[in-house]
Amino acid sequence: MSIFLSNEIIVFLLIELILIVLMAISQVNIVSILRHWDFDATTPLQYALEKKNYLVNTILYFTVTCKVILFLFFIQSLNSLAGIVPGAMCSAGVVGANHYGNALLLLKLLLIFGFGLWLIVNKLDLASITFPYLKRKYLLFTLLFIGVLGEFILEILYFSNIPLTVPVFCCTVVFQAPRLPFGYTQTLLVLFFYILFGAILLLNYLKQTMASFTCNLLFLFIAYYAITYFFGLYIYEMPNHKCPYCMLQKEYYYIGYLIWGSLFLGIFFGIMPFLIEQITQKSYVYLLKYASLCLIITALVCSVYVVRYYLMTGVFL
Amino acid sequence: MLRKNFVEYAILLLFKDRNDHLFSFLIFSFIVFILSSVLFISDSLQYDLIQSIKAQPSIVVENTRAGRAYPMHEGYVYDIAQMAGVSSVEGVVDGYHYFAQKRLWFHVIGDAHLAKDEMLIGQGVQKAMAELYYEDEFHFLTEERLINVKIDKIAPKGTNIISNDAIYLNPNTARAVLGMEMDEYAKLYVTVPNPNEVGQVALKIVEIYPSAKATTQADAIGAVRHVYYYKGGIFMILYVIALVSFFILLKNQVGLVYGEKKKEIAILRSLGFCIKDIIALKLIQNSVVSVSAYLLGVALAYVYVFVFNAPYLRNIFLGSELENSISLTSVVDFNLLFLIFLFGVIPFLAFVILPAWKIAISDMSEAVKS
Amino acid sequence: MSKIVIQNLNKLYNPNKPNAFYALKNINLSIEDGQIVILKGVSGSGKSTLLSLIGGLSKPSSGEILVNNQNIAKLPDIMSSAFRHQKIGFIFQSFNLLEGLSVYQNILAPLALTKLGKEAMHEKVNQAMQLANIEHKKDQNVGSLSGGERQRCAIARAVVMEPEIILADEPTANLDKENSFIFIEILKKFKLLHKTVIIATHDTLFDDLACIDRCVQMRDGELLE
Repeated sequence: MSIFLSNEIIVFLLIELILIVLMAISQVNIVSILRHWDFDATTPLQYALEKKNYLVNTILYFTVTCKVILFLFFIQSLNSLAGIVPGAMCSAGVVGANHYGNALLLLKLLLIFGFGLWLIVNKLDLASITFPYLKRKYLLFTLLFIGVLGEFILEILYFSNIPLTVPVFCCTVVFQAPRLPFGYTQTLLVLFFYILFGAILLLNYLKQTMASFTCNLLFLFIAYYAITYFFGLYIYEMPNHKCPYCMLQKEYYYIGYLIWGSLFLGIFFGIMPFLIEQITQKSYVYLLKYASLCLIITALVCSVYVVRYYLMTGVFL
Repeated sequence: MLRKNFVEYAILLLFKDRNDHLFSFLIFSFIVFILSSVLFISDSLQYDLIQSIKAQPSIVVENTRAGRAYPMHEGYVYDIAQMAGVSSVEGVVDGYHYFAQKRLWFHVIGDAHLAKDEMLIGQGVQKAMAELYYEDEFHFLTEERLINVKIDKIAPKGTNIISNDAIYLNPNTARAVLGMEMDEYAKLYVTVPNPNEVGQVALKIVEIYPSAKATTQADAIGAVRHVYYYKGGIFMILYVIALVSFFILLKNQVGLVYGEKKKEIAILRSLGFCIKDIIALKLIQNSVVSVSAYLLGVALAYVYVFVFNAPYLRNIFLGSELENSISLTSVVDFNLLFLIFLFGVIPFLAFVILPAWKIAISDMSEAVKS
Repeated sequence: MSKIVIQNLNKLYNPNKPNAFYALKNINLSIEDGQIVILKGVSGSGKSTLLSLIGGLSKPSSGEILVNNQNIAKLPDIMSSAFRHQKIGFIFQSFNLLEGLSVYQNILAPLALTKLGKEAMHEKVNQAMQLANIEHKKDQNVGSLSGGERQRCAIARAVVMEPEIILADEPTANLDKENSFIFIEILKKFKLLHKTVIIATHDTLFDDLACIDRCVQMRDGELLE
């Protein structure tokens, strides 16, 4: 009996494989584009290379869309796998089944960010006549391709190491002792969350891309811990239910999608301007206001649950 | 690229060329239909089985000796009833009787509501017995004697999934048929009101009776899930192979069709459609084809499985020698539909990208002159 | 300032192969805004190739094509297509209509790339049909039209985006005398609308027409002055 017989895993791996094949085709084309590209040439070869550019483009748009869908599908599948992995009561148990789980999730997220960056650079590249960012764009693509291959290997390792006979830990065990570097108190965590949040809003307003970039990356981890260990408690209305995944389920009205979605989107918009400036030397700060908007939504939704709980019961958890 | 005018025009062009897409539409619908049917049947049966397990007691205890089933006596009932957390223990007579003439096993179940000479049989059993002209009464041949019981009741069709091969007898009659003593039981149904204590009680039972098997509801449900999981998984792998072959075929077909459409694409290009627009056009058209084929396949599967009860296909899951006529409960899960969508539509579009690009980049100037 | 300026334009087919040949050699040409220019020459003289290049349907081997002072020869596809969409209207010898669609639907094609609302598009199509005098056939399938009607449908499609430049490749080659005269009437309308028109043809009908501003001879890929 193997986990690879699960319907969801089969479909998931099939689509991943198809995407890898498509990206491999792109990569082969990119190698020839990078070797022979000379925009000023008027040879048929150069025109053919320009056309190959569009193939790579299309494949990447398609891949990004699929990757986002697959990411969501992955999270949902983990939840249904919880039915056959002994001891797991929700995705948390399945993710924590071996040490590849969390690394895989983080890699997936970073890859999606990477693809997003590529799409923006590509848009800028196509908007100008001479394809100025072509080489850098394709180097980025190659990095992403390597990342995707790594992701696939990690997925195989992760899935083949999910124990089907030995019970795994569920979220109560997985999330009981956080390994935060600056010691654990809930108050400190929440304080840090709001301070960093405020700092990011300010930096976005002042269009300080580098500082915003650093703070956003920090915020990714702080917010993860804050939502899992503090805000989540108010969503589940239980002092010990510390789980980032359960809020994605029907019982909690799928609020997790809004919270995590706006968080990731906000961080994405926050880190992009700096990276784009590095690659294209062009200012792209208009994304910062979307970053602020998304993070405001995250903070608002989380805070609303806390306030609501307090108003209902008169105490904090 | 996704502007309303553009999408509408793409669909207009699609309808103009609908015959060209007929091949892919029909085959894809068929594949989705088969896949959906299999998954619907599987899910529905799983659901029914799990529902019936949930209606059963918290723990089912069976005894073994030398690895085979062995009856339990009253003492077991008493011991288990004394355990903390157990609210009641019910002994059940249950076993299999070999009907030699037809080489079939009948599932004999004791039912206290039946009188000594009454018998309730499932529809499959009725058919088997009738074939050997046992229409009013049946003879059970055991080692010791021949037991004659009147056939008076037939189980209703709706319970067929569990009753099809079953014979319900008065417990003492059943014991006689199965060769058990008067105070013996084949299974014990233990009721534990607090679900958190079920695991503990099961452990305790096995502690005092090491050769007994105590199966909790959770275990039973897990076992059902594993069986379906395994069967479903094998199917899916076959599917993947079929699907990939289809898509390779599709890619070639699409490439061929597009070859003939070179002139039309060149005309559009001369009007100002750029390469990206042509690729988008083809992807939009194929999305419409694949999504509508998906919807058709799923709808047909729904009708086939839940209205017509899936003739032919359901025998893969209901492997029983007795003729089965169960009615499948309509269970449709959104996750399942999404899974089928991912499985079919995304690879479809992925395989169309290359042909679409090839046709988009073809040289305009020659094509418009021809 | 000239509308179209062509400098040192060359088009070499099959480069580095034994059957390589120059379809266009060192073309230098200037066309003013609002002019109607005839490119005259026998088949193979390079006039269709020149039109293709001006319209961005193919790329030159060397040289520049400046339209409104912008070199369109080296534009990437997205921009070249946008230029073609907004500034150029093509009329082909074989009409090149989309079979299986009606006249109205054919004329609608360029508008599919715009963000116009339904009424605005309807208005534009109607105007184009009026100019080409094909309104009465608007819902008819193009497959059942006569040669002249197909030509007029193609003309309507070419003008629906109100382009500044119209390129016609042998527009009367597949028409009878009567329809050829109808084409010339439409040409006069183009003149009134101040469109720049380049017609590649060897039809003698265009000789000595008052609305023609210039006649350029071509032979073996070169301009004859």
